Amino acid sequence: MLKDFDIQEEVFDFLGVADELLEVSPKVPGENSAKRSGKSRGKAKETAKAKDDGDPNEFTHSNFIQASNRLSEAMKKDREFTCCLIFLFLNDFY
Amino acid sequence: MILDFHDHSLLVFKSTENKVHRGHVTDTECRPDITAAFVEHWGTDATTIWPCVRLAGEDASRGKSKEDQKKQAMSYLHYLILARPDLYVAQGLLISEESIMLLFAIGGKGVRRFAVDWAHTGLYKLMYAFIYRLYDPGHFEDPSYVTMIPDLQANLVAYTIRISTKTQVGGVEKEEHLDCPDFTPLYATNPFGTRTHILSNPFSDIKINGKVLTVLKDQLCRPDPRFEEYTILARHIHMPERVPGVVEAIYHKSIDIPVPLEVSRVKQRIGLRQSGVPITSIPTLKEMLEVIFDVLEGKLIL
Repeated sequence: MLKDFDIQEEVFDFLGVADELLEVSPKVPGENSAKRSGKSRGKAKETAKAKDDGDPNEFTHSNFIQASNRLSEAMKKDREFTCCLIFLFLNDFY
Repeated sequence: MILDFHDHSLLVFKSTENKVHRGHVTDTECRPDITAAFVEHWGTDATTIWPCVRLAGEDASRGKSKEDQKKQAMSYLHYLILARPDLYVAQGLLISEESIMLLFAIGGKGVRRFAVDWAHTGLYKLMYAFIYRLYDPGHFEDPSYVTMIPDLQANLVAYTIRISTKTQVGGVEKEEHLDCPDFTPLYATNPFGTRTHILSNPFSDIKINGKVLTVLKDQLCRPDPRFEEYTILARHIHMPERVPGVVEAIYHKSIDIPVPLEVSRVKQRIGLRQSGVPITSIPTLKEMLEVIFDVLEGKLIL
């Protein structure tokens, strides 16, 4: 077994995607959907649980495929659209 | 506004846990839970052919122990990199309730992993960069594989492989590029060791020094091997006189693997004149004995 990557910077180096390409999201690090939506953290967790319980319109790990497709579609289109979609992507994962 | 991949077809992720993709060089029937391929490469039954698969992944929420799921995810990459002679690195995923694990299968080396929680603040950048490399493999691919044309009905692909030859013109050495079209995979093995791919076009009209090149063999070898297949075939066997029954090597090139991948091996590409079928495809014992007899007696002219 090869040595795994320890930190995300190693992964970025390996992927070799230019830094400027990664500056695509309007997201402020540390911000989460609870803050954005004005919900309390507890409320956000309840919502997340409801998502995990099977709401097909929301992102959870169980419908990761839809999330990936939305991101992929956004990347195919343009950077501004990508920003919006990544925002949604995050919104649904938190 | 910066455009990303506006002129590229769409990369589509699908749940494929009950589907068997076709056209693998080893005929594997393994079934990744998640598969990504470009939209035009998907069939109507949510399957594709392995050489068109860009990503294979496992969803860890279904039974099995964590360790088994990791092994399963890595086994998909084993098969994916066997199916993709054009890639140095194949990408995969293992997703679970807690985290997402990015997997990178590096030919001639092994699998490297990185796990992040769903709530990790860097997830969006990682996913962006990860999918970016699925659209544009960059240094993850071998640029000498110029095109790949899939035939979804026949379950195979044909590659155009660019080779370079050196010629003397007026005492000056010049490098020329030749595109070898319609080469299809015949064999692949040992993806994390001596990773070997053999591709063939029996109807090739590419000539090297007047001899038709019908087979290309890519193999990852140590930089200072004790034996070199090309030297053995070209100099020790067929010099000074051609030996019937032994394949002739008419082309050779060493290809360096991109440095960031830290692969200690070198890709050795050999072009062969003769193509054939596996000896195991001889249908009867009698015919097998006849072939071996002819080879030993030197009567078989390839």
